[in-house]
This record gives sequence, C-alpha cells and structure tokens, in this order.
Amino acid sequence: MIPVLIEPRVVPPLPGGAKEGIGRWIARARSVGYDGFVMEVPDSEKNPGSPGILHSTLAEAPRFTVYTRKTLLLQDRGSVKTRLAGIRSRFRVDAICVRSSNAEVLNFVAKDGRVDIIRLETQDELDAFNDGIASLAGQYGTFVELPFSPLVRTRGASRSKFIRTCNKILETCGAYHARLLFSSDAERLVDVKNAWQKALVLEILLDASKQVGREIAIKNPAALVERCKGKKDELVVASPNIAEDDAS
Amino acid sequence: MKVERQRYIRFRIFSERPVPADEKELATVIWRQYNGLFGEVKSGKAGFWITDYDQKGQEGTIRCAHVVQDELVAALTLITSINDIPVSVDTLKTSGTLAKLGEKVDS
Repeated sequence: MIPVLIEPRVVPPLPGGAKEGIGRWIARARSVGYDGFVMEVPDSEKNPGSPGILHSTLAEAPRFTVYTRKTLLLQDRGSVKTRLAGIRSRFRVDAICVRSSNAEVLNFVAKDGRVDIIRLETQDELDAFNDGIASLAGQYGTFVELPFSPLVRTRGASRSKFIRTCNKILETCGAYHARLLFSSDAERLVDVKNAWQKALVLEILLDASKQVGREIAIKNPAALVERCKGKKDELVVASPNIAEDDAS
Repeated sequence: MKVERQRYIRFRIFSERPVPADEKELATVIWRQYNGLFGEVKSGKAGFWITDYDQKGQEGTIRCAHVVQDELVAALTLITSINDIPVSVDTLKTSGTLAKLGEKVDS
C-alpha cells in the first residue's frame, strides 16, 4: 500500500490567504511527493475568521489536501479549560496543538481529547516533558511534536545538543507508545523537505531504526489527519442533536 | 581485492533564484556538509563523485559507495544554502547503475 504523505506543519507567510501563494506551496509540496500538508493558522484568538476563507480557496486544488491547525501557548493550569472550551468549532481548524513549559499543563492536555498535538519547541518545553506525559499521550493517542528545523539549521554543538534531547524524547515516547511527529515548520518553500529524506535524516542522526524513522516521518502524520477527520465528523454529527434539543 | 559496489543518486536543487554554482563548487558544498556531519574518516571512505550536473536545470547525479548512500542522502537533505542562496536538495531516485537510474527518472 502506498502511504499518504503529509507534512505535519508548514507556516506559509500568506497575506490574507492569497491564492497564488498557496498555489506555489502546493506545487512545491507536490514536487517532493506530498499529498497534503497541515498549515498553521496564524490568526490571533480574537480573529478566527480566515480559516474559512482558506478552506474555500484551497478547495480548488485537486488531489491535494490542506489541513489547518492552531497552536495555543498555555502557561498556567488555571486558564487551560477556558482556552480549550469549544476550541475546534471556534477556530474551524482540523488540529489543535498546545505548547507549554509547564509540566502540569502538559499532563492535563495529554489526556484531553480536544488536543491533538503537544508541541515541544523551546528548551523549557523540552525539559518539561516527562515519562508521565509520554504515558498519557500514548494512552490517549495525543501526538508529541518536535521541530525538524534545528536538525537542519543548526551546526556543531547546538545541533549535537538538540540531537541528544531528541534521542531522550524518542526513547521516552517509544517506551510509552506515544506517537512522535517531526514537523518541518517551513516558512519558506525551500524548507519543505521530502518525507523519505526526513525519515532517513532521523534514522541517521537520531540513530532510529528504519521502521521508527518511517513511522515518524510518514505513518504518524497520516494518522494525525485521520484522527482529525474523525473529530470533524463528530462535530458535524453532534450539531443536529443540539438543534433538536433546543426545539423541544 | 573486492570491488566496491556503487550507487547513483539523482538529485535536483530547488531554489527560488538560480544557483550560480558549477559541478566543482557543488561538490565542495556536499563534501563540507558530509564532513561536518560524519567526520574526515567517513568522508574518506564515501568516495562520492558528481558524474553529471546540469547547472541550468539544477539537476545532477552523484556516484557514491553503496554503504554510504543513506548518509549521503541525509547530508544532501541538510544542505540549506549554496553560495548564500537558500536551497533544498531533493533526491529523486537512487540506483545501482546509471542505465537503471535513467529508466527510473524517465518513468
């Protein structure tokens, strides 16, 4: 079976979701073999309007799927519930991602069905991640995401340090069956990398097995979009019930 | 002496501006990246060679020892710029013979 290749996070600088810009991103992603990508929605929480515009623009691209995602930066445990309330319908995005350097917050969101991805970007966030969070993420199917760009953009000691941190997280996630993602976080077209090449880099630099490398770069991004599709369907199915309740 | 098996890797350089680099400059960039990642000892064993490179189309073929094929692809993936122009080196196909590589690229 030929796997569906998905890039888990791109951040195209598209002013107002310009069609031409998106077209170039799609062409680039296609040229390296992708069938779709998950695009970060940069809007502020107060302005959740543009994902709808993006969806309609992207509908014109045949045989290529663009999913959207929203990343929330949550720092204290107290505001988590409020920030996550109705999040998916509020932003009309496919995937919800949370970043936090607070282990308590990560613990909470790892088992919260509304959150699809825990993203570990800064050193504080990487340090906050522990076995307990990995175990919950594995149990509840939450994805753990690491950025691929430090492997590409940094050199020497800083790359070695990042590799060491990644190795630890890879080991922890492996032990608890938490699914890992490595996203390119592409802000420029040249940052979009072929999924097979990504798998090979993970295999060589992180000393991962061929199977693990492919799981991270190929299988898990496809599993992420499957999970998100399921949640979207739930949202659609749930709406008529609410309407009926209101009428009665 | 056992004859070393070879692999041919077809690649394309993607960039938003044309990359003014010839075969020699490109080989230096690749060698530097490989050397930085795997060190001089491994670089010595890699024995890679750019067999052809079309500067206009930014496509070419590298020959290397089969044991370093994966490492070389990883090194190519990690190249971010050539002559200060941001690039991405995409590998298209790999094969054991040039003839097969041609067939694969055409198909």
